[in-house]
Amino acid sequence: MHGSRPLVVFTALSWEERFILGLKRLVSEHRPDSVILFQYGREKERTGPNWHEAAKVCQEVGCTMRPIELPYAQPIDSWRAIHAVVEEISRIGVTVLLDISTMPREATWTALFLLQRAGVWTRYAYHMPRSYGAWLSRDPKTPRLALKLSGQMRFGAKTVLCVLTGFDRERTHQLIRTFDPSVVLLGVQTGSQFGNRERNSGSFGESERLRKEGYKVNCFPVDAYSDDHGFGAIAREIQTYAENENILMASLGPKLSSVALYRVQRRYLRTGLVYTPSGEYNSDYSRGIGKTITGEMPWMESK
Amino acid sequence: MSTRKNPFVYEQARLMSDEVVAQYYIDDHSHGRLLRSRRNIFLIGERGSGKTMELLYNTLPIQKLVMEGDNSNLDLGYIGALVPANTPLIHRQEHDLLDRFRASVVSEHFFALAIVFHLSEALGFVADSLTVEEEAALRTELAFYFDSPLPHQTDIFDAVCQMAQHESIEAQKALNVPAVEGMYTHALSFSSLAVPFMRAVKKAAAFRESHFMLMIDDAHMLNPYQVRSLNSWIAYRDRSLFSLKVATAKVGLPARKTGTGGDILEGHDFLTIDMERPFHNEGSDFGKFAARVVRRRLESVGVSKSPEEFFSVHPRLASGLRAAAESIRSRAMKEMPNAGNKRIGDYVYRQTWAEFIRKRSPQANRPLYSGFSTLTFISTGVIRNLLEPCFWMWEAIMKDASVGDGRIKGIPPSIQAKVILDRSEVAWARLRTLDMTIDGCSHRDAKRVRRLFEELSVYFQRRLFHHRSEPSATSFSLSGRDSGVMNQLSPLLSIAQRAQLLYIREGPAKTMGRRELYYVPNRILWPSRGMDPHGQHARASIMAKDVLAASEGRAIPFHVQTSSHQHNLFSTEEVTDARE
Repeated sequence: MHGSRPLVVFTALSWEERFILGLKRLVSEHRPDSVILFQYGREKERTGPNWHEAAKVCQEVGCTMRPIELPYAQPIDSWRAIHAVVEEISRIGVTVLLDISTMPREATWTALFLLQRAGVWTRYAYHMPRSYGAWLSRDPKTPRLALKLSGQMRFGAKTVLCVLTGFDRERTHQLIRTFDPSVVLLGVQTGSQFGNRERNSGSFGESERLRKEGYKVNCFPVDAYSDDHGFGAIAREIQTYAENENILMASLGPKLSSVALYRVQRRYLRTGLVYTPSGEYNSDYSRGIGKTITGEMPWMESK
Repeated sequence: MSTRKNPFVYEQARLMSDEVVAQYYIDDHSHGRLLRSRRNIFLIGERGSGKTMELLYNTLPIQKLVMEGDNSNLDLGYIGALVPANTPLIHRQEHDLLDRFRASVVSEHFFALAIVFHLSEALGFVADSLTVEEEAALRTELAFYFDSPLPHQTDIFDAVCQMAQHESIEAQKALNVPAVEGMYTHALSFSSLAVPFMRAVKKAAAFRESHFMLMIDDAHMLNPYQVRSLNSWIAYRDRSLFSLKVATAKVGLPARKTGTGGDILEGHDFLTIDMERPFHNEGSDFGKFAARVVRRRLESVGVSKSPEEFFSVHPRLASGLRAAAESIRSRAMKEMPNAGNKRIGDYVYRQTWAEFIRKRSPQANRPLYSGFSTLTFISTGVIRNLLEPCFWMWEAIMKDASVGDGRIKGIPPSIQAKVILDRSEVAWARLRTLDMTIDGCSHRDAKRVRRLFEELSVYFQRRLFHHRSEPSATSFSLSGRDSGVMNQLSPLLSIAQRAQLLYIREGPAKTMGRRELYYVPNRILWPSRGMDPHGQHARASIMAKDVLAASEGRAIPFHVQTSSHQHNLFSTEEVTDARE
C-alpha cells in the first residue's frame, strides 16, 4: 500500500542478475500489493530461472505476480496489452512503481504515457548494474515511432534527429539512414562510469565525419545519471527547432535518458520518440547490481 | 573563384539548395523526355543512383530557376511537384491500431494532404499567374473541398498549404489520443481533395493546358494502404490531368495491387526507368554521363580541366598497362595470326588488366589505382559511388596547406590511389558490421554474407590468374536455381543488395532471346584485394548451391584451364554483353 492506495510494481522479466536482485530490493523496501511482470516469449528459455525466482519472491511477501505477455515484434499487440492492464488498475486506484532497468524503452514510454493519461501517481526505479558486457545488442530492426508518442509532423519541415548516443555508433548511423535528417543532435553521455569515456571517445570525431557528409551536426553533453536525467540539456538543445521543424528523438545510451526523453516529448508535443528494436541481446548483457536510482514522474503541462 | 567548396557532395539531393540542384543536374535526355510526359513512370534504383535529382530537376521551382537563368519563359505545360515519402509522418504506426478500412482511410488522408501541400507549394512559385478574380474563385471553391474557409492573410497557394498542414496536424492529434482506436472523422482523400484541387487550378487561364506531374520520392517507404492507393491512381484511365512519377528502391519495390484488388501493368499503366547502368566504359551511356557530371562539378568551382586530366592516371600504372597490352597483343597475333584487328583489339581489352596483375611481383604493393576511367568503373554504374571517392580525394587535397589560395589543379594519382584503397577497405569493413547496419540482418546472416563475399573474392582472384578467355569477370549469374537453395540464398543476396555491396541487374542469357538476373558485387571491393576494378562485361556462371556453400566458408569450385583444354583465346563460356 502507498498511503491508502495499493502499490503496483511494473517490471520486465530478464535473465540479468539485476532484474531479480532489483525486484528483491524493491519488494523488500516497498512491499507492493502486486507485481505486473512484462515478459517476452522469445526470451523464455533464458529468463525461466528468474521467472521462478520472481514468483517465489512475490509469494514470500504475499503479493500477486501477474505476467503480461508482450510480443516484442508486434508493437501494436504490446501496446494493447499494456493499455488493457493500465486501464484495469487505474479503475481501482493505485500507485505505480515502474522498474525500467530491464524494460525495453518502448514499453517504458507506453507505460508512462498510459499511466499519465490515467492520472496514476507514478514513480520509477532504475538499478545500475555493476558492469556491462563487451557488447549489448545487435541485429537492429527497423526503427519505429512510439505509438501515440509520434508527435505532430509537419509537411515541408526539416527533420531534426536528436540521438542520445550509446557506445555503438552504428546504431546512430542506422537512425540517420532511416530518417534522412537535415540536422543531427548528438547527446553524448558524460562521466567515466562503465568505461564511458573510452567507449564514447569516437563520438566527437564521428560528428566531424557526419558534417563532411553534409549533415548539420551538434554534439552536446548529457548526463542520464543527473537529477533530471538530461531533461534540461535535451530541452535546451531542441527548443531552437521545436516550433518549425520535425524533431525525432531516440535514446541509445543509459536507460534513464529515456525518462528524460519522455518528459521532453510531453513538454514539446510536436516531437516524436523513436525506438529501435534489437534482434539479439547479449546473454552477458550485464553483471551484478549497483545503486538504485528512483524518481517521481512530474505529470507536466504540455506546450 | 576559390576552390575551397567541395564540389563532389554526394549525399541527399533534397538537402541541396535549388540553385545547387539546377547547377549540378545533368540532363540525361532520355530520362528527361520520358518524365516530362503524361505517362506514369517508375524510376527504380538503389540509393545514390540519381532518382531524387531527376525528380527534383523537373519540379516547377527548379524549372523556373533554370528558365530564368536561360532568360526563357517558363512553360506551364508540365507542372512538377516533389512529394517525399520518407518523412517522419510515414513512420507513424497508429493506423495499425484501427481496422483495415479506417487504417486505409487515415493513410490516404495523410498521403492526399502531402500531395496537395507540395503541389500547392510548387504552384506558389507562379502564384502571380492568377488574376484577382481567378484567385477569389479558387479560394471559394477550395473552401468547399476543405469544408472550411482558407486563411485570408496570404496568397491562395500558401493558404492551401496552411490548410493541408492544419488537416494533417488535427488528424495526428486525433490519432495520438490514449484511446486504442483514436480516429480522425474528417478524413480527406485523393478523390475528394487532390483531384478537385487540380481541376480547380486548371480553370485559371494560365493553367488551362497544364498537366500535373506528381513526383513521389522513396515510394518504397509508403505503408501498404498508401501503396494500394498510389497504384489505384496509376490505374486511372484519364491522364490528362495528372501523372505519377514514382521513385523507388529496387529492394522493397512496392507491390502492384490496387485498392480494388487489380494489378497495374507495365507498359499499359506505367513505364519503368532503371537508374542503374550496367555498362561503365568510356563509350557507354554511363561513362559519358559520369564524365558530364564530374565536368559540371569541376566547373562549379572554377576548374576547367576535363575529368580525365583532373584525375590523371599514375605514370607507373599507365606504363604497366601499356606493357601488358603490348605483351597480350604480341601473344594474340602470334597464336592467332588470322584474327582481324577487331578481334585482337577486343582480346587486348579483355586481357590487359589481368596480364598486368599476373605479371606483378607477389611482393609488390597493390596497384596504384587511379584515373577517371577507374573511378567510373568502380562506381558500378551508380552515380553516388562515383562522387563519394572524389569527395574524399578533394578533402584529402584541402588538408594540404600548400594548396595556397585554394586552387586545385588536379588530384595527384598517389592521393587517388590512397583514397580508393581506403574506400575499398571501408567497404570490406561494412561487411563486418551488417548486423548493426542493415535492418533484419541477424548476426549469423552477417557472418554468412561476409564469408560469401570472401569466397567470391577468392574465386574471382583465381579467375584473374587462371582463366584464359574471361579473366576479369567480376559479376556472376546463378545456375541450378533450385528453390530450396534459393530460399536460403536469396535473403543473403538481399542483405548484400540493401547494403549496396551487390547490385542485381538483368541481361541477356545464354539461351537466345532469354534474359536473366545477374549479380554485380560493388567494384569498390576489388582494389583492396589487388584485383582489376574495371571488370569485364562477361559474367561467370556459378551454381547457386556453390554460392550458398560459400556463405558457409566453402570455396567456390574453379577449374584451372590447362593447355590440354585447347581453349581458344577468343572463346567465351559465359555470355558476354555487348560493349557499348
